[in-house]
Amino acid sequence: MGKPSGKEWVSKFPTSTSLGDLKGTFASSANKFIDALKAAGAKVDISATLRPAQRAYLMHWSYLIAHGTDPSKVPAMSGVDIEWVYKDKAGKPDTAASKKAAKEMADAYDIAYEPALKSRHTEGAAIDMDISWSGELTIATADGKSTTIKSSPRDGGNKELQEVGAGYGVIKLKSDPPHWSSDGH
Amino acid sequence: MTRIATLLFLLLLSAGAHSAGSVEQIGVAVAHGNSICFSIEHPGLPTPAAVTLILPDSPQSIAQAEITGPGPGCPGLKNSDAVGYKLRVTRGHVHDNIVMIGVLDGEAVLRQGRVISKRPGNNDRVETFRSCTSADGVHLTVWRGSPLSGVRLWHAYYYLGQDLVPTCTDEDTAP
Repeated sequence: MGKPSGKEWVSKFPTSTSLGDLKGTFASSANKFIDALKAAGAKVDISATLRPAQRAYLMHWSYLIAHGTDPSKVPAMSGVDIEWVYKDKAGKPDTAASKKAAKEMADAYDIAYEPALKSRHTEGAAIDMDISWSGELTIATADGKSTTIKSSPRDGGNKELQEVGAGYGVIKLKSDPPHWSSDGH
Repeated sequence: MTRIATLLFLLLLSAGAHSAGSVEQIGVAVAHGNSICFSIEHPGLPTPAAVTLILPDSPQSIAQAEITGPGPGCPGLKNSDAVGYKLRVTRGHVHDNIVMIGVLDGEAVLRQGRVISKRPGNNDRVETFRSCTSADGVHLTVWRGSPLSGVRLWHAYYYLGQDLVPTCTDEDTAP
């Protein structure tokens, strides 16, 4: 018997902003790229690195139950001892109570749009960061040389900077200005 | 002759830019708890300037609001020159955490579940509204004509910091 769903779950499995929580080869790639950015004088402000898969699971299913999914059909997840199904005094599933608790949980997460169950963030292979600099940016490239970026914008949307990032294995996702990942997704 | 043609072309381009220039009348608003933030690249707006709030998710809806004073702006609008204000709803309803489009002046009506707007200085051209989700945020767009097939007049990205099911197309997300 797990712990009932509800807003108490929201503080568990928080999003990380630490480079130390990135996984695999992307961890090394991102660290080297950010070291190069900082050494070049750029400002780097990290919003998110690892979003735990458990957090994605809780956000995804709380949203879907609040929008009508049968809580008894939600698959279990190892390491998340949550009970989605509330029961009435007779011990029968109470759909309304289950939905109410899931909605409170989704509201506490500030969810207004359908959350994804998996992403590069849940794999530890993505980072959201704001990058900025002034003037020209002379930055070390992955091949040990350096390049000077004179073009605009002076932020993560700069195409030349994105080429430098790609050299390190940190690929820009075009649709989301702060998002870089192992493969551009 | 070529110079005259070039001059005429530049004049036409300038007129078009002026029309699209009215996009400084458009901003982003988000309700959270008892407060509504409003960010727009338009400093010095008076209290109580009227703002039409468009909830661009399907089915779309409209609310009316007014500026109650300066504010910190909406936090998910990154790398923007927008100025922050606080809003108060005067008519209709808004929903927490839905990213809305806020329009100064102009008239907006609901037609078959979609909001249609005309704004002063936009030559009575019909404008439509759209929002969609990408990996971590919401893209808001205003179109002359129909969404995606019309001319995109305005675009904003709002970072939510959540993993989302993507619904955007390339037309939505182009810088």
